[in-house]
Amino acid sequence: MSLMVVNRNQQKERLDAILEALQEVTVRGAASKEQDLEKRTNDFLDQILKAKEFLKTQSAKINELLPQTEEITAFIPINEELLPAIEELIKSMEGLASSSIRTYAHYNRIFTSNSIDKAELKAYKQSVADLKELATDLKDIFFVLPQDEEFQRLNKELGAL
Amino acid sequence: MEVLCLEDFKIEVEKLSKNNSYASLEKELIAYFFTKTIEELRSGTILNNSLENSFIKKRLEGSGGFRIYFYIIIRKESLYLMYVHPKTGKYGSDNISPKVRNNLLAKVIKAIKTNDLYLVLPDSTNTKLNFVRR
Repeated sequence: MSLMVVNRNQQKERLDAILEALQEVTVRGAASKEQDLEKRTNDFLDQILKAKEFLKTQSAKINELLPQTEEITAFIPINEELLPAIEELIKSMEGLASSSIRTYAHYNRIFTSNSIDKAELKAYKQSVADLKELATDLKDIFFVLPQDEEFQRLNKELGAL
Repeated sequence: MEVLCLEDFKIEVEKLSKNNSYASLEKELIAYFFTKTIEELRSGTILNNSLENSFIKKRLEGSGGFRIYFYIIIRKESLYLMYVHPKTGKYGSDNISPKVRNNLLAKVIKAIKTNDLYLVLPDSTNTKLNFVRR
């Protein structure tokens, strides 16, 4: 049946029915879009919370390891047999520092573009910087400074005071 | 135990303390260096493989959020504060080079020989440091 052959009332009823159906589709679409957006937002926020928790845990673990690692500098005198193991430890620290810097850069991009608070990220960056610095210091202490004649001479002088 | 310092250290602490980022620095220094035994103060990175004349690099995390490194020497019953550099904040800088480290060591040896040192003491409120020339 076409609109042309129905009377005015029927035409009006048809138009109302179509309009109602259209509105229903529109409302459902909007609701679904809203639900979808809400779900995606919630998922995103969950991921951010997870990322922050990850950064917090990693910082805490690194911070806990730093004083333990520093203690190896009190292994006096240096035991030459331990040097390969110390070298391996330094390499692992450097490896962790490098991968952590990439992790930092990754999250920094996301946090910056979404204006997310960076407290955990900043603390993570500091822990990684300390880890990297300690790796450099260990390399100096066990492999560079023992060969540094000026440093050895000054230490001898300090001991003789 | 006596806590002594080089003039450079005194100047640096006075400069940093004036900055808001490091406002709690002197308080943190007192809390760390004036409440511990010599053995406890030996914690940190011992740079020169010596327990008798330890040249130590010590990292402290200030409650104000700053991170700071100290270079100290512990020998006999004395602790010598040689150098301080923040890692974060306005005056934040990187690790010092081996050459600068050697210069520091030479400087402290000369200061001990000539007694060109300051005695470091906390004030009565334990919030500020007094530097008294020896």
